[in-house]
Amino acid sequence: MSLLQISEPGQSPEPHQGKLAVGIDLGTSNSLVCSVRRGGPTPIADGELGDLVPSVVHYGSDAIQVGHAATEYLLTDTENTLTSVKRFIGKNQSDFPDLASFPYRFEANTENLKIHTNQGLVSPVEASSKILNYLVERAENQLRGDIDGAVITVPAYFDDAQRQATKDAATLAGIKVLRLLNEPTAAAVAYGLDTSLDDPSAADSERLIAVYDLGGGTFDISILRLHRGVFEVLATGGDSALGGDDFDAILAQWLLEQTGLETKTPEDKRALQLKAREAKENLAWLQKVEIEFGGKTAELTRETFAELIDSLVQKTVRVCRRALRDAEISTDQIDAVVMVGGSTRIAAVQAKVEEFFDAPLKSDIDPDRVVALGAAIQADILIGNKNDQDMLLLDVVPLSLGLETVGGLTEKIIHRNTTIPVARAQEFTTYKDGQTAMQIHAVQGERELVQDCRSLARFELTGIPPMVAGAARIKVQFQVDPDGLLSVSAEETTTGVRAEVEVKPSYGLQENEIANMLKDSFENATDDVAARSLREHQVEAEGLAFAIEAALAADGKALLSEEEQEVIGTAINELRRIATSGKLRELQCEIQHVSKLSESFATRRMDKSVREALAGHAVDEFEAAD
Amino acid sequence: MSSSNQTHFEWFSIPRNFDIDLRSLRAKYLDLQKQLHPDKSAGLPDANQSQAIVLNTRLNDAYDSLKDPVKRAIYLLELSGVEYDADRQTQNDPIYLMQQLEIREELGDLEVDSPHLDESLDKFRSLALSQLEQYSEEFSLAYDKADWPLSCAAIGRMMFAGKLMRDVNEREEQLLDL
Repeated sequence: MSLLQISEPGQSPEPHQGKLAVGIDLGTSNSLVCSVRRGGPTPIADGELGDLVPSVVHYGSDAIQVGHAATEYLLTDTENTLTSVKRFIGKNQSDFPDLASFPYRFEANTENLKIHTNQGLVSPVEASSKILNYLVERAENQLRGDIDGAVITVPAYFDDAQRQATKDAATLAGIKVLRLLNEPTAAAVAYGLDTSLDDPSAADSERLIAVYDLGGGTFDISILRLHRGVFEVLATGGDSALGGDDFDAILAQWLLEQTGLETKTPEDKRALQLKAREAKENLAWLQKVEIEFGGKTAELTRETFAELIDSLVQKTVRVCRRALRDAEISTDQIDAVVMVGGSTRIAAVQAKVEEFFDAPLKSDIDPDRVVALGAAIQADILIGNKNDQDMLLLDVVPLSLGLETVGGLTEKIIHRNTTIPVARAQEFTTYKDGQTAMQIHAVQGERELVQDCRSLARFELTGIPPMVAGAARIKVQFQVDPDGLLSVSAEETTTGVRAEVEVKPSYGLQENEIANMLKDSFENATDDVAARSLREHQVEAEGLAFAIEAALAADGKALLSEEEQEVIGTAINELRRIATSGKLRELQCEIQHVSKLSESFATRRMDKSVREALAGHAVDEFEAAD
Repeated sequence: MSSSNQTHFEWFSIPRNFDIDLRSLRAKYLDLQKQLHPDKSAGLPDANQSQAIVLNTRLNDAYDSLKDPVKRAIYLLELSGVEYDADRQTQNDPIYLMQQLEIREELGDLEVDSPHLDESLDKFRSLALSQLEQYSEEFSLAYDKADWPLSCAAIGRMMFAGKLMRDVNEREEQLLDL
């Protein structure tokens, strides 16, 4: 009854008392879960372990450990202790020419990235799901209740495959994903509710902010316009394979050169990596550090470190430049730069960013926690605990989406930085006489040639009636949902032949693999799952019945005939009866049936609401704001 | 009256014109977003959420079609029953074509070590913008007189100006490895 609710600002259906929702930052190095308590977002800690959870999973021979417990094995059982799996998610082997530099045993007989462990082959999706599981369990223990849903953050520059893989990881962990939220946007939300970005003397004015997010493995820049609770992303850019890990790698290489040593075993590689990271972190508050490795020492100053990472930092600045251009604004219009991610603690990074934007840097909210805090705020709203009419997030597609056309060229259907949700269609035709099938290949990226873009999915539209070349009209529709996920459909419009796909990565996990894994995990807890599902559907049914009743009371007489009112009324009663019967399958069907039945009523109310909304809006106030 | 049959202009309650007040369009867009965004139907059944997504997609599409001058021009012609066909719209003014070719050549000549590269790129951008404005005015005049052939010709040139802007940006990306 979304549409029914819309016309009644401030009067949402009965609030679901005590619904628990969390925001999760699934980071490359650390992860964090937060929830809104007593009005404000708060990190969820676990006693002495603190709140940040190292994104490390250890696959022992008899148990799987996550977080601090797993870090114990970093040096002693390196091959079975996975770190930074976020770098691998939604990717395949050919994306990593330097696979040998990782201390893992990758499965050779597949394009997919799979790692041999004590517990068999493990994919990045599975490892990520373990981390998610751990975070949700922690939240359930600390909040003393079941988590009803989560907002999970992803780098803004994640492509469709990486987003889909992240969502798969959540599905595998049994988490209901309320939304995949872009990390910089989440950070802006955390700041937006804080007054520090608001200039009280100009409360009505628009503010332009840049969010510079340099984490352990990914870099994002988002340019946002803030105005009266609306967070509008104007442009986003980034590099989903650039972060603190790369600084560590450069530093590790430098250390080898300085000491004349070599790394031979996985343990050596890991130890070197940890040394490099430690030195980098200490430089955030020291001018120089002594690094001991393999019995030798090397001295590293801030200046040397700055030189070593300069080309990577320059790269982030170029990405910022492009994002500003995409947003059609100049640096002098930026009011503030929000700094997010642990790597923004590096002095050389701060200096470069400040020099480029020539605007104050904001890091009042801890750069390691700000993303999850923002996600918690969004989760609280999406679960229905807070009917915040003023806050609104408008996000964009980070990378253009297109199709392969004849000659291996890309035809862009949805351009980067288009506001989501969005749907675009384009017509194509056959190029051979009598052609009866067409291969649809969806790709993502900015480059002209398909081979330089990310391949997302291939499917075939068959059964096109034979016609002369150029006579068929094939309409291909791209749809991107609020999570930023793509689905594609194709139709021959003169005959109505259709084909449709949810875009699933052409690598990574296949649909049936997820189903199997889910089945395996359910076999241990089948009753639990069924009971939980029934309860969820009962809540949904009650919400639906309540919303329709409220809508009937408000507009039933005005918009529906008596007969229509009666049909809907009977359906609601039936829905309530089945809900109490405890039959899950029947209840699912009835919910669908009632939703369908009330659709046209909802549309009528929507029209009414649009008309009313347009009748008395406050355009003049907006215009006066400049 | 169904919202699905309304024109984009009706959706935003603004007059069906080429010359529109972009600030007021944006204000109305945000107003509608605040009510129609899928987040506003959060916590409600999936079926209704997907309905909200459909509607919000329509809103984004309408806004997108109106805020961009080229799309707005093509949409206006469509509403008047005229289909703009880019493939059939050829430019036959030799002086105009010569100018365009020259601009492209100059752009292609820029190198990463060219003196004042940033300024040169900005000069091309201003040129593209002023061309877009000039041909937008031409379109506006032709459209008001219901002169469809002239309207189509103007759109062709507006698109050329838009393409120039994209080419400048692409050239910059190539040169600076953005």
